[in-house]
Amino acid sequence: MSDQPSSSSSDSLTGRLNRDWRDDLAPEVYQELRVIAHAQLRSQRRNATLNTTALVNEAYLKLGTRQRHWKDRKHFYATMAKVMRQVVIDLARRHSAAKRDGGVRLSLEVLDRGELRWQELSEVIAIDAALEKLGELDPYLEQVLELRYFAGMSVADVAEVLQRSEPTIKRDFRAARAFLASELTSELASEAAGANGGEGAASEPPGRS
Amino acid sequence: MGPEQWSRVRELFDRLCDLSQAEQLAALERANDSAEVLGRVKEMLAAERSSAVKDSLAEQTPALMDHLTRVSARGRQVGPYTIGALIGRGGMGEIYAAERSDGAYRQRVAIKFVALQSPEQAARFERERQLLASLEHPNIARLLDGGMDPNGVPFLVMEYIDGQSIDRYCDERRLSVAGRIEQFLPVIAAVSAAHRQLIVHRDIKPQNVLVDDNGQPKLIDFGIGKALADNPAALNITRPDDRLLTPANAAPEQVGDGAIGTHTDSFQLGLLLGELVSGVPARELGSASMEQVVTLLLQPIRAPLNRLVDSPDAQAIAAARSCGLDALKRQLGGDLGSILAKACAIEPAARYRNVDELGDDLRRYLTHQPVQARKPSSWYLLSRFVRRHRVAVAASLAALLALAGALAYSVVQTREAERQRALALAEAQKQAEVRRFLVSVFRQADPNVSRGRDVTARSLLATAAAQVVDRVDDPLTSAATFQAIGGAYHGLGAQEEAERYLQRALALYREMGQSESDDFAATAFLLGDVYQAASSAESLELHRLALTTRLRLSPEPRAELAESLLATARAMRQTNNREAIVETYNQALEIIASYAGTDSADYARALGKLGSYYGSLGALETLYPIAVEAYRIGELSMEPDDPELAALALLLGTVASDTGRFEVAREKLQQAFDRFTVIYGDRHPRTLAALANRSVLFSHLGQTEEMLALATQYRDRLNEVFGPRSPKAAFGWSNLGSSYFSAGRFDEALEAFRQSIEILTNPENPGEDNAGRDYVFAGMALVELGEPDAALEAFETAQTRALGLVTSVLASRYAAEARLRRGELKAAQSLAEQALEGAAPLNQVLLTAGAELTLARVLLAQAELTAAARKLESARSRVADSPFHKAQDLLVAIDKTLSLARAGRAASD
Repeated sequence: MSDQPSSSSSDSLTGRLNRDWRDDLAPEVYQELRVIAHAQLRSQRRNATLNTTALVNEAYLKLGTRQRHWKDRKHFYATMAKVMRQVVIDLARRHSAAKRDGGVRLSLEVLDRGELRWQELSEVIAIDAALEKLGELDPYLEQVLELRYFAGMSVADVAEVLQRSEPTIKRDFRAARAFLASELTSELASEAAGANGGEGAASEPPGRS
Repeated sequence: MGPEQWSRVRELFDRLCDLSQAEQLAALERANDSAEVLGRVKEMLAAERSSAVKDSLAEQTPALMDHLTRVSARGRQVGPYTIGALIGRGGMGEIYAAERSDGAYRQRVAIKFVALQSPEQAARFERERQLLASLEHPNIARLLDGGMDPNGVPFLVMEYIDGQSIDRYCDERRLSVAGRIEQFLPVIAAVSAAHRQLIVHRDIKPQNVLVDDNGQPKLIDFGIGKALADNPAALNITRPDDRLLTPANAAPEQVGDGAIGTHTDSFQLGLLLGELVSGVPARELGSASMEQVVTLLLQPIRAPLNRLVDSPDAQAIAAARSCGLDALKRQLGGDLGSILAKACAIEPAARYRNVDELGDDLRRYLTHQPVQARKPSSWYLLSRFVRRHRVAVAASLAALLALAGALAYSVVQTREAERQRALALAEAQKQAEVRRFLVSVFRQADPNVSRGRDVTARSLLATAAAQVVDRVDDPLTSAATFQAIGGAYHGLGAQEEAERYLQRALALYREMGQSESDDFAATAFLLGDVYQAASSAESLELHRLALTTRLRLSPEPRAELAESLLATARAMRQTNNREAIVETYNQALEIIASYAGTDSADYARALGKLGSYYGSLGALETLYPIAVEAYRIGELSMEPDDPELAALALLLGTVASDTGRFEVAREKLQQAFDRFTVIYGDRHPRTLAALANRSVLFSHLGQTEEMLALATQYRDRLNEVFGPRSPKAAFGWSNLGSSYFSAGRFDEALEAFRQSIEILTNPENPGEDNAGRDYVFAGMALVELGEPDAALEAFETAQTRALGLVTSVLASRYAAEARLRRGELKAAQSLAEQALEGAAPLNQVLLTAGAELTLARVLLAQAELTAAARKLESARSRVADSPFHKAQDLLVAIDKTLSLARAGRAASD
């Protein structure tokens, strides 16, 4: 199996990626990333496209300042997905912290939405922790999940990047997702137990065990 | 669990995941793996059904991703700007440093991306942005640009301030209290400049005041709060989601339901200065719950001195102000404490009326002059006045907006269905534009904003008009907009501007072939009213145009038709064609009777108008039953607090007063005065009219003291409201002079008339030739004072000006008296006869009897005793039963003269 399945474009992409991100060609790379991200998300939530664009943007900027050399296409996407994951988790953590020490900054009106957001934030942080745990058992599955879930890539694209068949990627993603879900479920159960029992896991950072 | 066990988990999961739950359980029981492996597989299979982990991040955490969209900007190109580092986060969005780099020059700027909740917010934001762009002040970070980024997120480009927050700046330099105040004064100037443009900051806090390298404080984030508030009148202390606003700096009205205005900035400025000088923030919200926070924000601000005394860092705070603790305490406790307490009063009315006053007081403090804040009684009275005044402003603005609104919502009618549809579409667009305009006026007409002296409703309108006019390109929409602006100007009494806009609207309607439309008619009507207000003869022409247009549109009886007829009748008064005028009023009444009935409010109002026409003719006895009927219907059909009902009470009370029905007069005038006071406050022209008529009533009753008290009050109010040099103030003097005259205090009367004349003949008041009446009155006072020469001079001057019928009679009569005193009997007689002739058709008992008295005195001087006695008896019979107090005086004079005549006759017999 070749390292670079869709030869020419990937070739040039990798080549372009190795330039400084501020170079003239950088926007093209960025554009390509956006196109990939968009294509996968068209059928989803209406503004998902917008979100992914922003995420790609953030991740790309983060990448641009610290990582400029790419072994190949796979390396690039895997790194990209990991950075996207980091961006999201950093953001979630920051907000989660802001909420913890800034309770007064919520108005009554916002309270309902605030609860929702709180749950969202802890979910994302818990998913990250669970994914870390999965990575210790199975780094490959972690990568599949990052590409599919955090980078929002389609099964076909993940299959292409990782040089696997689509059904394989589908099964991999399903297993990885089930693992994360099982971690989250037990996390929630222990949190509920902690809340009921007064002292317990509730004060612990979620997902670290 | 290790990797080997995991691969076993994975194997089992892959094999079982597509089976039914029962099959899965059975398979798991058969498997002989470790409990750990089986447990994990079981959990995964169960969890898969729970959908705790979604397909994608966007589904998992939409809100977080939304947020990311808003904050993600770095490195992006937005227009000519390249976004750099995140430099601030707060209020309504994130602020980034950015660089403008198009070709020749580079400029460092700050870009704020604003998170919006709704499309309406976007439109408001855009409008507000344009307003903010006009804000230029050396101590305000300028708004340079703005727009929408490719994701539809609005952004503002602001001057980049390379500096630190004012509190840090002062601390680092160990500025003294005085030094801090001096550092702070330009901030007040900046806020004041913004207030003059009707922009309120609403979020003044240390982080929003940056001091640049040159030591210049710069206020940032101006007016953004208002630009985004869903309800511009009340800003929530926090915005949804992550755009949190720390409420520690909020004014009480920002959490309560009070209106936000310039006084809100005054509070926040005071709070900020208090923190700068005392080193302790006014409020420590800590971990208070939301409800506690709200309670806390409504509580009085603790004095900076007390905050300092309680602070464990008091020594260090004093050191950072380059002084000892005792010295700092002394400074905070004195006048500065009073100033800060006043600026931060919980009740907005107790604060400085505007931020300039705060600045003035601080400057007085710095130069050791007595400060205003130390005199609570005077400022409290002042602020109370402003508050009362505010209601009137709001009421009149609301009324004029309602008028313009009604015009905007009229529907274009045409016959062809297709045309109608096209027009309906245009209409919708037109209405949207007009509505937008009205909203913008209304929003700015926030009475709290306009409480600053130099901000008038007129300047509000000018701002709003300029905003709208440029943006409209469809002629029909333009016409409707001009129509609304013209209407609003008219409501404000700015007739020249009103005329200009309404003429433009009419011309546009004509150009667009819309001269047969309701809008055209409504515009013509408004213009007619404008000319009416300006006493221009063209009002009749325009009211006729409106009327005929409306009749052509439909002869169906309806309110617009009645309105047009009434206005036409009013405009016809200049023609003196009494029959035609009364006929027109009656047509209006008939139309109202057929669409609303004779017991409707419209009917009552129209009757009132007919009545006031009779009043202007002096036909008081004809007017009286009409006024009674109008009030009766009004009482049944109008709300008790309807100002029109009070106006009908005023009409009835006035005519009752002038026809000697003093009980009715007393009750109705009092009622009108009380209602107007409640509705408009005690300075509104209508309230003042009721006040003046009450003083006239007391004059009729001979209650001199009450009469003079009210007449004096009336003069004072007119002075206050319209200014001491205004024609209205002259009216107050004139009325006071008449009161002194009827009290027999002729010196004071003369002085009052002189005041009035001086104002009216001032070149600043061109076109005010009402001075004729006051010359006559002054002449009358001079006659009574025994100065016939001066009196005759006054009458001569009066003759060169327009005089009313009654005034002419009085002028002739008193000129006769003056001639009589000079022994010029021939001239005296002809003048007295002239007076009597003039009085006859006016049907006013006292006027006629007075003329008869004078003629009798002239005849007596010529020893025509019989003729004199005849006149005197006639006069006596006229006034004998008169209820008016003046009649008593007249009667005494008549009887005195009569006894002279009789004595003369007896002597000659």
